[in-house]
Amino acid sequence: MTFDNIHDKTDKELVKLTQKDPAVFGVLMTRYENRMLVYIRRISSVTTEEAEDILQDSFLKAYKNLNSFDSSLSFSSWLYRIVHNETISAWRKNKSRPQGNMAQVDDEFLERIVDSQDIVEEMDREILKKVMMGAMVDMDDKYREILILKYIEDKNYDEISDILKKPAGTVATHISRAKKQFRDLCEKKDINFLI
Amino acid sequence: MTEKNPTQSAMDKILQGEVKQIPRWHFVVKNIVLWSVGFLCIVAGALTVSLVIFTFANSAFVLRDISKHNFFQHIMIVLPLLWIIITILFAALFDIFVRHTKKGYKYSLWLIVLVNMFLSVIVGIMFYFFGISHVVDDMMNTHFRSYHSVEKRQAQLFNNPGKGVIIGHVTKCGDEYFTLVTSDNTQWHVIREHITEFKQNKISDGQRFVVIGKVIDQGVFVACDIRMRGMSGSNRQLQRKRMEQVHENNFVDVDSHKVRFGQIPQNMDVMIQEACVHVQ
Repeated sequence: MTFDNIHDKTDKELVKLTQKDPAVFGVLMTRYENRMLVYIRRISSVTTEEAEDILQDSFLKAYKNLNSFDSSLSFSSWLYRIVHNETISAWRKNKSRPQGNMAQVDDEFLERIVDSQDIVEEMDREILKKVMMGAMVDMDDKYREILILKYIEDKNYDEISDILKKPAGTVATHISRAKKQFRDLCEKKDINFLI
Repeated sequence: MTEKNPTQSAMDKILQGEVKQIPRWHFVVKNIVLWSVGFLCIVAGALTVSLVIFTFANSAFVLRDISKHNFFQHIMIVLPLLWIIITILFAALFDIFVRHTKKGYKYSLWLIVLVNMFLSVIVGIMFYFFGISHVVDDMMNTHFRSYHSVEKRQAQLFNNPGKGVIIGHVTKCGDEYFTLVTSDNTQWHVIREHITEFKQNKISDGQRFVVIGKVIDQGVFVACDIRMRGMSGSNRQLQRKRMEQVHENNFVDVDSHKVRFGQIPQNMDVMIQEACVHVQ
């Protein structure tokens, strides 16, 4: 079955079309593949192969449960939720979630933070980014995840609420605490941030 | 990226039929079950709230002056701890139910608890006024020996013939006396002829009273003060059934205390007067 301009269709339209032709789901998967792979590696310390396995499981789970997709929610948030939960489950199955062994934080994110700061002392940018990376590694998992969703994945409060299935008020509180923890950890390393 | 492409791998499995979509009816049924559980939580929570109301409404704080217990002891006897704990459990279950609904995660714990309490209290008050809490209290009393029904608690608070207090239902009423049966099926012939303050026509068959006075003979009680102690939130059918049971148990038909004693003791009037001296 072929559909006109299938790549121009919205996520919700593609979800509906998948009911007629499962192959359409491939368009959705292609659309989100790279973004989700990067997200999986951001919130965990898995290898590329493990991340691909987790992503494959997530896509299959999404396909299986497509009839439960609530159209009042964005497909992106719904998929993020599944990927997030599958990543956490994979961690628990391995029975290890080593602290201080986080995968690369997006270089673009670090650059964004560095550029936005009015740092009095001159400091080598690379050293600064290493300091920030260290601070992120030392953070509590739930605060690091929410910081990633807010500042790296550029999600708003409602989207984060839908992804993590938490009330918006709780999301706001956690973001505030995450920022404070990040600032405190950076201050210990003699870096003062306005975040 | 490695040669293995997660999208292609997943697509292969889907097209080969290794993975199938869960049908929509599955989620519809799951939703129905979920909402049914939520509804039951509200109903059960309302029932336990009604029992809490029923217990406190019949805790007889106004009669605490004649109870043999201090305030703290009184509270500990009347406190419906079991129902309070079960109410909290159903509130927690309701929170779990809400969290599993599609939009439930958007609401804070306090809002969910508030809504649950509000609904439970509103429906609970209705259950209380319709006498449903009385029925449940009675059922629990019948089936669980260790359960303390409201009547048992009141007996614990007030029924102490040795100290001059009894509580029970009137089964037979005359001008100078009435027969009172306590919750342990003890029958008392209560002499009331000298009480002028209490209006005689207020005492009738089936009513419940706390009687203050003195035991002057086995099964004979002189009343110095009588206080009405009806059951708030009672169920009429249950009350009628209870009175039928009491009447079935009462095979001693006493017409008056004069007949009861056969030959009237010479010092009867003195005994009656002296009985109430300590109460005055």
